[in-house]
Amino acid sequence: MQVLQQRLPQLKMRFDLIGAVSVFGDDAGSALAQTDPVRVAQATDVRLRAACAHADKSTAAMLLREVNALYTCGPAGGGGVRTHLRSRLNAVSCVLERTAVTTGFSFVE
Amino acid sequence: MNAMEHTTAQNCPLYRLAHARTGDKGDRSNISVIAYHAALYPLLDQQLTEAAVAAVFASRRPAAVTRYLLPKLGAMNFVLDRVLDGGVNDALNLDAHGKALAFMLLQAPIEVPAHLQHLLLQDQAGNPPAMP
Repeated sequence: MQVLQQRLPQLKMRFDLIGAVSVFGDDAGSALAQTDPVRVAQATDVRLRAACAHADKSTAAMLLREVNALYTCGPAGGGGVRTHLRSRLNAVSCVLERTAVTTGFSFVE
Repeated sequence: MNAMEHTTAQNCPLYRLAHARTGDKGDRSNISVIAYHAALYPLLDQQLTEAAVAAVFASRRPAAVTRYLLPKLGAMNFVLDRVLDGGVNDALNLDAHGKALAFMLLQAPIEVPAHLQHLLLQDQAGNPPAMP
């Protein structure tokens, strides 16, 4: 985690320590930071996940390139690396004036 | 059944009193809590307050926590604003919908007086069950 943060300061990354803190955690890492380090250290079956999102595909791909060497090099404890890059489409909720929306229905036989 | 349970009030995880389920809409999470027994519901009413739930999710900095009571169902519904890192399309969590948040809430401690402890969920051996 520290190596990735040092080498890719331009990316906002999320980290999961799957087996210690993962789905209960938040993207900013607040839950992980507040977790008792002794409890994290006592976990014996942990896999690191790093994730990021970026408007520019090649910038997002930097994270994949950064961990690519773990296929054959570096610490073996993680069990190798798997990477995946995919496009994302976001939606945001908003409120409209009721008069701006026409509603209705019809039956189709 | 544990004999200790009948002598004094004890703190129990919420999952021994109730089940829960999460839904989401945008960056808003919706968590229902349903008591296993009507007699346990008043404990939830008193202790599972908006402030208590906000404290459970403090690391997510909820913009608001609103509780809706459904006493005839022995249930309550919590609406937590801005706890999903932008919502299902924006969050980087493996659990982008925040479905696990109900299980986070089910770990909250509830103080159960001695006379209600026989209603707590327990396994066949009479021990507290593992997290469902």
